[in-house]
Amino acid sequence: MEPEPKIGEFLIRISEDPDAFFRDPEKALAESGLTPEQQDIIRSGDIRRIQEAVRAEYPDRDLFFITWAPVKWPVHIVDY
Amino acid sequence: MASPHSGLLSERSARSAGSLTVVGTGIQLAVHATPQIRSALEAADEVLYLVTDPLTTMWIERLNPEARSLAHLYEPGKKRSETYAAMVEEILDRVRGGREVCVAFYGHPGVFVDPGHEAVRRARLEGFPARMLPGISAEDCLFADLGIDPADAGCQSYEATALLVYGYAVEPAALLVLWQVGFLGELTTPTSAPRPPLALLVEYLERFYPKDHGVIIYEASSYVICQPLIRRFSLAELAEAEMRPMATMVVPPRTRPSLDLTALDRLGLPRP
Repeated sequence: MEPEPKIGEFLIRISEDPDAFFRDPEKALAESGLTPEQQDIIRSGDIRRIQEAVRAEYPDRDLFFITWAPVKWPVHIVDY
Repeated sequence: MASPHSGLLSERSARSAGSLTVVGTGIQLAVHATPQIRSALEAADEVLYLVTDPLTTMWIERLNPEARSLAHLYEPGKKRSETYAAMVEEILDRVRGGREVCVAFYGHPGVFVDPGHEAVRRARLEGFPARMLPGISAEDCLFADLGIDPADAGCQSYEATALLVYGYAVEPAALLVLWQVGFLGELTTPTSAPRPPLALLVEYLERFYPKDHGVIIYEASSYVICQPLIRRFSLAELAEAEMRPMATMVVPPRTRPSLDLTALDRLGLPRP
């Protein structure tokens, strides 16, 4: 059985060659194998909808949202 | 073939193995990675990464099957400064083992990234070649998406919690960029979306700006097909605003700067 197409795989593919996608987005979507609902999410360009869909497709990926701590004990001294 | 670290080798020439390259993947998946960054990821013996997007983790792993995340070092409730210290130690362990290590962070690896500079500094102290390759930061995207040139009015850039805790003075004639607003007052890594005490930030900013001063909550686009998220509020409305984890706050200047005629004269510049 064919695996279900994923928005994530489509995004990785078009990110490697965005010009090819933007030349004819509808053709790219038609050939993507994505469902009408998934295509609608892509067409929206809405970062919230797209991120939500991607995170639902890959719930086990390790992510980290913040990489700087404003307060460090003992006092953090930057030596330039 | 010349090593990517040619010119950066320390005096410890006997040590021929072990090096560190710290890179930034940028903000948008794949398109923000320069050929130099891609090459560093592909060529490394081992890649360690810390990024915010599942697709970027997959993209990195496809470039280098030896890639793995540093996010396993996160522990609920643990101070982030301790987590970052553990990350640096893990990075250095791999370098000490004689591996050509590449570490990838989201955005620019030296901008609001505690482990980035620290790993390079410590690696060099231990005699290993180490370098950082710049990446595209959220602020770079912000300037492009909002049509702002930081040169126009000057730019102040602070972490939101640090602004309050250290009481930095704000120059209302310059642009103000506040980072990590979604994690205001949070020193650990929360297990659920934090609810930042924005009312405290509003109270602080009202020392410098009126309640009806417009501010922008900005989030850069993660994928080529996405638009950035740009939301506008007055300062008075900000306390109740939804603040997503990756949001950056932009406060436009309130006033124009005053011209110092004496300085003009001393620099030999014509008066207006």
